[in-house]
Amino acid sequence: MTEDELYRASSQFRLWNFTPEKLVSLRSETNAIACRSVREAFKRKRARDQALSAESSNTASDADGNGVSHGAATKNGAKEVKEVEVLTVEEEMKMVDFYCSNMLNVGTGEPFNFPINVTGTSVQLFKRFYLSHSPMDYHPKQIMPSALFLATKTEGHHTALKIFVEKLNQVPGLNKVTAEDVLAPEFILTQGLRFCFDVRHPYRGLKGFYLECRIMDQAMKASNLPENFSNQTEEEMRENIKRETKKTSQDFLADVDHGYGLVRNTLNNAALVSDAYFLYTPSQILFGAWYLHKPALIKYYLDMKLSQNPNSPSAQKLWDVINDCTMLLEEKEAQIGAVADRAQLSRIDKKLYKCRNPEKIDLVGLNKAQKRDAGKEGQLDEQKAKKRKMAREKSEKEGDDLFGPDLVKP
Amino acid sequence: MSSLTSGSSRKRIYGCYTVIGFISSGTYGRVYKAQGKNGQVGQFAIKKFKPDKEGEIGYTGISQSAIREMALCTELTHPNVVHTVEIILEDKCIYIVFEYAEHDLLQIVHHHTQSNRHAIPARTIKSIMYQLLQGLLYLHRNWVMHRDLKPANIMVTSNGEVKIGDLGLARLFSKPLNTLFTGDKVVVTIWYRAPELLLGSRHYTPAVDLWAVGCIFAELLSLRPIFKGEEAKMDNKKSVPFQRNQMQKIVEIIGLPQKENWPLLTSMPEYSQLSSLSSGIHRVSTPQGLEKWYWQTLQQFKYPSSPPSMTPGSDGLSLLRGLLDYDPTKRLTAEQALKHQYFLSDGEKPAEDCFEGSGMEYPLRRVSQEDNDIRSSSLPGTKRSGLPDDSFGRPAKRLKEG
Repeated sequence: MTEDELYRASSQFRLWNFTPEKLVSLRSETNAIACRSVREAFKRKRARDQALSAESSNTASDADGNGVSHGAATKNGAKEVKEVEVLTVEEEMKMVDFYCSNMLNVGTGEPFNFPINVTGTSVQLFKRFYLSHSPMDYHPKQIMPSALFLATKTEGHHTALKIFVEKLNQVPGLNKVTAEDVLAPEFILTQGLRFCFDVRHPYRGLKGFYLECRIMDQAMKASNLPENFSNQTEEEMRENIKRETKKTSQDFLADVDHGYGLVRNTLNNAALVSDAYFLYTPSQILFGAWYLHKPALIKYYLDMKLSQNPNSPSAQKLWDVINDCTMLLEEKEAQIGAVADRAQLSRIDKKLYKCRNPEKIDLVGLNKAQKRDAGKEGQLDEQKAKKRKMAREKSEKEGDDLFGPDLVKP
Repeated sequence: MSSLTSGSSRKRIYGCYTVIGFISSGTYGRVYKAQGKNGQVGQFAIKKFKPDKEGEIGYTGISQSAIREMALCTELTHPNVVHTVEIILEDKCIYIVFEYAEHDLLQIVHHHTQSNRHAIPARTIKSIMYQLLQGLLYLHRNWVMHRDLKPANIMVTSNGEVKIGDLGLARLFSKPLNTLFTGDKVVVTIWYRAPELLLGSRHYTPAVDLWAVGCIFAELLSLRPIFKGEEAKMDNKKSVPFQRNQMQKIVEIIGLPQKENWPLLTSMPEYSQLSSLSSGIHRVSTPQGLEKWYWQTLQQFKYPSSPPSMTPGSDGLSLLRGLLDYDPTKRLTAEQALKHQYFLSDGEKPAEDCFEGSGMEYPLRRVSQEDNDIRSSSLPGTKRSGLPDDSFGRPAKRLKEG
């Protein structure tokens, strides 16, 4: 079993790796479905509002004999129905991107200080979720805390909910998030992730490649190259490295150390926020990041390794992939460095607040309604339960029309 | 990939499965046997995670152990690891649907002890061991440690395929681990626990699984646990007691560990306890020796002296020694064990069907229809370590049928 075969068996490869074209079509498909569902939901809302206002104006006319007021316009249909303005794919992506960066800051910053595998996983889970869900249905602000909390569980970094929320509340802008808010989207999130929580990061490779560099450093200083490491002799290695990277055995390791810091920074930021995990394998991302910062070193290293296997048919292909990945990372790095276009983001956010699916805004309420189905009916105030049940049945019935059953009822 | 989009219809447990009966329970929840329907063909084991008790202190949404098991199950596909068919979320409960296995090693061992104490045929044992090690090698190659291998967790299908089950305690060892002492409240069966853990090592390595495989091998030969210690209970929640009795059982057979053979022995946290073990107990100071134990066992169960297809022979002893090596760094790895002479001496590869040519008929797995039976402790597939099997505070609801 090769590393390649192992990776190909992972859920990350099976479910979350795409060609660039597939990624684009997936996003536009998700957007199209969401647009339709949002428009339908608003149509239903208008119908309800109309019915309600018609009812109230009828009773009003019974009472005071004057039923002409606001019901009239809708009754004869003269009032122009304004279709809700929905987000484009690009706008959705901008929102998700913004919250990814935000989440990265929240997870790695005070007071959480989570290790990068926790924060990195949360960002990836979040990005995966939004491949099949639209911010119009689930606002990223609602999903973000839940994704971060879920990542603490998948990465074995146990954090008690109470403490998690206390810390979350210390973050500016998240001071009002409750424990219920964190848990409410959990099932939607886990289902959206298709119960696959394993994220393969390039961090292990980062350490591994560093160790490889230490071996080369040692080999240049003393002749003790391990067997099968290279088909170059220590002498040749020293010569080649000097020619290719302009580094001598004296300053080679310092250069590697310098690169290591830059690469780690790229992996911890640009790689996570970009689509790199959807398009490339962890090791491709790793080499892409190294190629961005120390192209000569990585060129030497990979050429040396590839030449060990002269039959390797994929050298050119590999370089193409690494090149593409490097470009993606470079672009993202530049974006992160630039000042965020606040005006544009706030325009999208305003637009989003007008086109959020009215039936999915109250996640806590929806979650409670479904929880009760799991068998706690007896404990609730009966009247309250009945009222909720009716509301729930209504929304479920409507949900069925569009999507088939949502979260399943008994 | 279109099923990724939110428009996909979601599956329902009762739409695809008919629950036939209850199999076992544990701290995690319960396992049921089910028959597929509406296009879902075959029998299945459905694990229903204990529904979370909202409002309770310490409630943290979907439990970390459920998340962990899901995360592992979805990554693993191997003929010798129980296959996860699907995961279903319904009424806020998580169900993992596994392929069904009619038998497990505990049940097979029981059957041999109960019906006239006949030995398990040597070929059957060899095939079981080979399949078990292949499954384990796959787990280890995927950076997964099982951490709770025991006969009850090793499933065997009616076609004689061995499948490692219950990854509830398994962990990725590429990720930072909590130790047995801090993170996990779950107690692992001590009879299969590796000596380095008994001596207080804070870190698991894949070698702990190989020790358990050694214990299982011995149990298949002698039809009883080789190191059947009594568990020392935790008296207060902070400190974990030294499992003196368990360590003693090991020492009585294979002798005290020696620092000449296990250089890191003296740095084990509980090293000082070892010297107190030997005082006064005759069997500790004069251990039986694994070799003697082995040949006596073979004699007792009337394994002939040859040919290799009829007896595990001296190669079996050598494999057992390699698996029950005190030093975890010297203990055989799954890969090394698979290359052991024991599997080659027959001249042919171990059978893919462990029942091939055994002439044995094993009883079907018992499933119960009644809630009452849940409390009886002798259900197949449940833990037998003397721990409370059912830790539900209240009687849990059974699955409704249909």
